[in-house]
Amino acid sequence: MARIPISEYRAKSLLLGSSYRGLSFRVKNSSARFSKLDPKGRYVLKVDQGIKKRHKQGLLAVDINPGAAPEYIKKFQAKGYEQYLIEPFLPHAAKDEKYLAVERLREGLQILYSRQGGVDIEDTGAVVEKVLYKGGPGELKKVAAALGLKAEFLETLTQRFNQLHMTFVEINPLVVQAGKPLLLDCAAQVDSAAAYFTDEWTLDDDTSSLNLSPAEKAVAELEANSASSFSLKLVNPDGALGMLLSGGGASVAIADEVCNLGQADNLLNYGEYSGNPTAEETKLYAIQVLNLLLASQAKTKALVIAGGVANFTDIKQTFKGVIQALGSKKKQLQQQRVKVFVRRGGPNEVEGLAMMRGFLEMNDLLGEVSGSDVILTKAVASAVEYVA
Amino acid sequence: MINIAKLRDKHAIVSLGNYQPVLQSILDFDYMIGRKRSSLVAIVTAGIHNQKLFFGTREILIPCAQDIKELKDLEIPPPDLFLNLNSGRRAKDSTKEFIEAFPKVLGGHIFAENVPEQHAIYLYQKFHDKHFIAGPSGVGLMLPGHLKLGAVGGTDWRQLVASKLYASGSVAVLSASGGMINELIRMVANGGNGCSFALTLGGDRFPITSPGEALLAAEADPQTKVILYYGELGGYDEYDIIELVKAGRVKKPIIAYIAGNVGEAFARPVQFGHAKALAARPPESASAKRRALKKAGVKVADSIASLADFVEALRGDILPKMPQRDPQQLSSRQPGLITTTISDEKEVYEFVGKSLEDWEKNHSLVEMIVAGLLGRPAHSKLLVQCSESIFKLALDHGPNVSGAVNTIVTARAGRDMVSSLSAGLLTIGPRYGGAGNDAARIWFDAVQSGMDAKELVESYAKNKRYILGIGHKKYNLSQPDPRVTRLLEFVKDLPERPYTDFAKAVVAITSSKKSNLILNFDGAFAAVLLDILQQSEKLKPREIAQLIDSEFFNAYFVIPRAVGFISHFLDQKRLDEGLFRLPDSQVTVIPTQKTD
Repeated sequence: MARIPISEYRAKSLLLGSSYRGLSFRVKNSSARFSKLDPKGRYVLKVDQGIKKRHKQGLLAVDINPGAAPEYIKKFQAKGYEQYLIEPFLPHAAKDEKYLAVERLREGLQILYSRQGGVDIEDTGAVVEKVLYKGGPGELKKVAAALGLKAEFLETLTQRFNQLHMTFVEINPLVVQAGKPLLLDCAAQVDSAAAYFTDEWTLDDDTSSLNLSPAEKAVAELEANSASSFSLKLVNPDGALGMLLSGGGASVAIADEVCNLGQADNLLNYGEYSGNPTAEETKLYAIQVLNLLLASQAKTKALVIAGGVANFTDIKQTFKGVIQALGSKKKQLQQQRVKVFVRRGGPNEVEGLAMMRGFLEMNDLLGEVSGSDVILTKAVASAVEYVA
Repeated sequence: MINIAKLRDKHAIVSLGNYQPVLQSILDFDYMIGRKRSSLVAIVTAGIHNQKLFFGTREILIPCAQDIKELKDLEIPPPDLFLNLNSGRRAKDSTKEFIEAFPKVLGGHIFAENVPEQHAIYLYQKFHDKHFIAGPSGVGLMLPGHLKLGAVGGTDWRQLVASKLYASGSVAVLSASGGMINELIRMVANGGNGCSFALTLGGDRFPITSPGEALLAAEADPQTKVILYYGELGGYDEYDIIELVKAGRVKKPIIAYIAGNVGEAFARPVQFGHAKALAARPPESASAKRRALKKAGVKVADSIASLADFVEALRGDILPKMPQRDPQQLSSRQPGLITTTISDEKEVYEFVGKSLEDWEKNHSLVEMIVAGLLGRPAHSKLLVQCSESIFKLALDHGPNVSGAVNTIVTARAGRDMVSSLSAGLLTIGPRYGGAGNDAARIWFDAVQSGMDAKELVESYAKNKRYILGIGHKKYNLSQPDPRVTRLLEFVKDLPERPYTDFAKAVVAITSSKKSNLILNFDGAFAAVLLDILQQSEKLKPREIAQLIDSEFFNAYFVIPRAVGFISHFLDQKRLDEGLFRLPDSQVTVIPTQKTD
């Protein structure tokens, strides 16, 4: 893992502390939350699970009173959303909308800012300026002056940014009224590797996990409980090419080949396992990929099992797990005429590949099995030939 | 900054952490390239003093330190490089501690994934001027024919052979990905060329050695003719490469592949395998980077197949053509069931490095015993002389003591020599005969921690514990133990004797409270031996601590006393009085309380 998005509610709470007046809730605890609101007050209701361009997608309800909220929530829920934020509505003039973003770079914090902010910033041709903040006072003063703010606000913001191991914050619009900054919308990412070093947020704040399919969720859980790495992303549920890839880097190059061959639309999933997982872990991972492949409506389907020449992942051990997974879905795979295409190298390569070939042959699943003597992307090329 | 040419002759590696497959592969590499010794010189790992690994078909011991501080006590060449196998949480602190302890180190590799971005940036800012660090994450640095720092190239020796890593060529391989570097090394080997070096930058957002720096290193390396670069979507580092090319600072031809055009098949930015592999903003996408690199004149491959074609066109020579030693031998190696340094019986019987004949002709029995106990011959006459005295003085302490009584009783029950001796030996423990080692521990710990005698006495009094090595039944201040007086003479000419001085300071306090709380035989021989081991034998504190942990000092009681017990056994057989039974008058019976 790496940079993970957190909810708008969490981002604002972290940056503003107790002065923040928003409430976060899910449908099941919404009534308890609403009892804290002023029934006559004006509020903004937002879907809050890391979704971008909410305004354009109609995932906001602006200037409503609490009584109107349940109806909106019903509408959002129908679209599959479960986490919300409600906060006081802040009337303001369009000219008060500014743009501010901070991103961590090697040399310091890159601050992007613009006198004109707002949801349409990409279309309005607003001038966004850049400053690299290395800790000196001059840079922040320059940004503060441009936005009509006090420099203290930016000092606190960047200080908290570092303390909290944030990696990216975008405030758009940032409303400035009489020198006072108001964070209308705020998106933030934190560095997941630093979770151990802070107690102000946890990995549970990762909003991307809210938008996962069941298979992706199962793999995320596997990843959380293992010393090895696992990832799975569903691309096209009806894709013909299931990918069981290994290696953080090689998996990307192999998936690239699907696109190079003009089959991007046929890509069922991306994902990878690496870091020498046990046979059992590999089996659990492979079953998730197989479930996706079996559920796909594509006519001819193929499974690509591929990876680079591993440095230390044991091919025999991990293939044992893959074979167990294939064995558990053998009948369905045969019925759907799925063929398996393999290219892999690394420790115990010869033994692992021989075992895989034996199994696939015996069960009529064999597409092709090759080792590190053929090119990395060979299995993709052969699988594409089979499904196309 | 990395100076690749310098690394071709500097290769003493210290590993922070113990991950055997990776470490073994380093030794296999060393063996294959014909190196006489392992480039891995020490491991920092808790709990063991040595790690057994194969050097070729033979097993060797790599010394282990409990922590970075203890490395200074090991007799190893000064480290040139580190291999940090600690977790992401520990990566920053352990790297910093190591470089600060060994500022002359050239650099190293951090293996861990999940190092926080701010930690990587910290290490970059603090160290990258003077040291190079490959990582975090990735698999390290390979200089074929010269250096294997990390898992790079594989952990199975067959992979090292297949990729011809015993031979160096002219292609520098730079890769964000650890898996892909191996793939690329193999691609180069299959194409008939070899690598001048192969460096994994690591898949993190902020590799401590940036791609730009790695490229400059390749440019500066006289052996490198071509640069093969593998990057990914995410981050902006490739734009630095473009700047270097445009500025003419990198003139050698570059072949590149930027992985991740698959990222554009997703509606929203997706996190790929590596931490860095997330293109949140348009210039971070693979296709944007490919376009920009192409525009700067870099040869960019659009697929792995076309990359392989580019690589195949790079004909070049590799040297040497064959491994310096035959790697096939490695397939038949088997670990030994036991490991020993004491003796050998292959041609002549050897004991601690000398033939039995040599021992018999040129050395005394005590010299031989001391060599056996230390695992090497004694350097000083003083240790041998003092040991001889201790053996003599401890041989027998009269028939009344527990061990002698048990030997005698067992012999009279008609048992054999080994049984009777064992009965005597099995009596030795904390209350009888086993105090020498515990006394050594007390003197050693107190002197090492800088405690003074008064503190020690008070802490023992407060916890209601006895100080072992102090107190005697028979002797007291006015009637000193002549054996102790004799032992103390051995150290009187040493320039320093911290342990004996400390023991004396302790008894000065205790004997003023009670006159029989004087230094006893156990306490005296422990203190005297400690001083001789440290002053005359030049043992380091760490080595002395190891001797105490393995009960070295108890041997000074067990060895002579075994002779004493055997003497009692033989004596009883001569006297042959029949079975021993306590007369009733010698047994006190306290009747059990009846409840009714």
